[in-house]
Amino acid sequence: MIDFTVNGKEQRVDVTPETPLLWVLREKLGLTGTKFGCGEGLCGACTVHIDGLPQRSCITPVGDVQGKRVLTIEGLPENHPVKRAWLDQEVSQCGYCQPGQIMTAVALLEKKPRPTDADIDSAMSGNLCRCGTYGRIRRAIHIAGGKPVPKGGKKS
Amino acid sequence: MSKGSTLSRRQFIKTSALAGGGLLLACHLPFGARDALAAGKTVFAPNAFLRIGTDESVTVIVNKSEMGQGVYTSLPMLIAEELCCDWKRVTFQASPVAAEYNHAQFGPIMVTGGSTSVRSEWERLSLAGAAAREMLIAAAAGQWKVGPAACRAENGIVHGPGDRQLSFGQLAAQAARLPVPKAPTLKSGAKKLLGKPLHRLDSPAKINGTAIFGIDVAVPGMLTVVIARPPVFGGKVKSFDATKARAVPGVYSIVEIDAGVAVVADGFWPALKGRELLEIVWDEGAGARVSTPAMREEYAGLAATPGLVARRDGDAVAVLAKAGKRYEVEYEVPYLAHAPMEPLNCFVDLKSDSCLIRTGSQFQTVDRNAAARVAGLKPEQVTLETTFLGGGFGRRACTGSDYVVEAVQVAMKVKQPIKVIRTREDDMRAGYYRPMWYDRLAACLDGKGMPLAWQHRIVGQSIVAGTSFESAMVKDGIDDTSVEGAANTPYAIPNLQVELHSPRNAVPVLWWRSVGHSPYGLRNGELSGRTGPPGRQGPVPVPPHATGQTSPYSQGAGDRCPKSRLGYTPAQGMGTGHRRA
Repeated sequence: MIDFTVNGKEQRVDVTPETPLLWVLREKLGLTGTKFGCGEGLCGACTVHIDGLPQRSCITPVGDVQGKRVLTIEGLPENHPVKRAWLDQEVSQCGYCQPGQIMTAVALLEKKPRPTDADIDSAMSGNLCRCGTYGRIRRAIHIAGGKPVPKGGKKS
Repeated sequence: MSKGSTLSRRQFIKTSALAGGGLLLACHLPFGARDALAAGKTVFAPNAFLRIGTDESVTVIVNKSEMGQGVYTSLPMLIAEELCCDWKRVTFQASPVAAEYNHAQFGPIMVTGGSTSVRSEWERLSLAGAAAREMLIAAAAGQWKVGPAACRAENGIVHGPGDRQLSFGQLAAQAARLPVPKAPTLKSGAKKLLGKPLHRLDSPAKINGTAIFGIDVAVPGMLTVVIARPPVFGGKVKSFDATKARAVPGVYSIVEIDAGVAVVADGFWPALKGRELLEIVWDEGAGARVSTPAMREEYAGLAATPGLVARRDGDAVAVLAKAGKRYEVEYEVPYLAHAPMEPLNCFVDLKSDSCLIRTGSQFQTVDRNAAARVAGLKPEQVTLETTFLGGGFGRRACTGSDYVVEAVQVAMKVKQPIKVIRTREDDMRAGYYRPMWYDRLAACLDGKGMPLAWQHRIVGQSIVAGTSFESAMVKDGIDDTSVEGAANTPYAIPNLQVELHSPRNAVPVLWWRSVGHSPYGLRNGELSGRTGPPGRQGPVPVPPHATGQTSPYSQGAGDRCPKSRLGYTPAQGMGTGHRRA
């Protein structure tokens, strides 16, 4: 048995401890907002917070989160500034990578509320987007961080 | 496979003007009305694409797959513009597979592709919205005993003489009893929604984790499947030992299907662990002899010999033979996986007389029919529900329906709802791909530095060879998609010859984003860069006026250098092409 909290709720799961957290979230707890992209920690689609830090749930054995706090996209408040900025900038295209992008962005802003472009590029470099929404991701992070961005700002 | 897809991609577009004039409004609603009736709400369902509830809801049934391009917003906008409803009440729903939802231009097949969603649906959905508006107005006019001309619809309300108002919801039940107008009149005047930036209707679901992609589909009792596939294309299972795999906790069963050996488990992880412990002896077949070096050699050899002629203007061969300076270049592009962010997957719930499929498909009719064929059912016994697609790029419009067929085959053996998931490695290794291409180009210039002759020999697999599309799309040995972007180059060159070799091998190939334009933009643009004399003209030797068209990079006939639009001067060998795709 492994006990941990997910989005503030205590959970107990009966799985082998090496099972990646991703599949426990998706299959045992029904939290399918966290996505499977590569299974190797390379694409970032599976990003969640563990005790406040962004982690790749596809390579995190669930046994390692015993007693820890996990936050997934479903646990992020509807009015979270990052979500609002994402809607404002219409970041999503196909949307598949976006939960992971958002979780990484939230962690960045918690660490550095007014990030520079370089901070953003560095923090987000592990999150791939096959549609190529990177320019809007960067703008949305600036907006969520309170930095005014001119309307129809420079696309990149 | 549908016999309807008897037009080439180019022909599809050519026939659009004809097809557009004869569109009919379908007069029944396969599932929208059913849902609404189940919910106990009176509904106005004037056609297959729209229903209006007494609760003022406006639901647009979208027959295109959402894979990032925004069809769950753009297509509802087309209806809402003509309907004159309140945009804030508009929601979307993915359509089922039915004739009413077939592509408006591609024949009797439901498909999303070719960058056609908005332009192919423009007229049909505009008319659908206009017809519903006329019916709502007629319902109000009837109630007020006035002529419809005295009424107008705006923002979900019909306004009549003397400030009378009735909402669409109030009118829905009455409107549903009226005949559907055969020739509704489109609005005149300025557009209220079209052309204006609007927020996407699907964005909230995509950022809060509730959007359901194929990989997210789950039902109680569902089992998860990963498949061990042969290490070479076309390989088969010779024998296998599943003793160790079966011992993995959570593994439910191991079954052999055409694609390989499927591990069925109560979750992805035990299925994956089980697969690692399978001991399989493969019959690799002829595919084992295929290698990149051998193919390069074969393709280079073919490129040195004349191919089938796809286009001939003037006499490029003769002009080149006499040319003083010839530019000759060979290009290679490799096989390329579509690599959608969401690896391929498919949910199947198969019963003796029905089959439910939930997956992110761009090719619903083809996939449904393939499932029916494999399961021994009639197409109408198969229900395919389209989820969100975590990227499509053409991969989810597979001529062979590979990821659907393999899931149905597993379901036939397991007798429980199953979902096959490909790992990233499966997704990359199992095909399909953009073909590898080997091209040989030769060109020469006239005294003014303009191209005088251009010969382009193309070597690469046809993406439709061996599929049900071959008879329709290959003419006189030429697959139109193999020469797309080359034979129909927008450049005006007096002596132009395009030739094609279409070798066959075991590597599965498929259309991909932009199809032929993907490799040809590079080849044509790059050679244009090389042939251009350095200096005054810059590296763009074929200015827009040579094509008789306006280039997006051109400021006018005198502006041959694209620096002002690019923000930099392309280096030698780095061409700026002019594409018409």
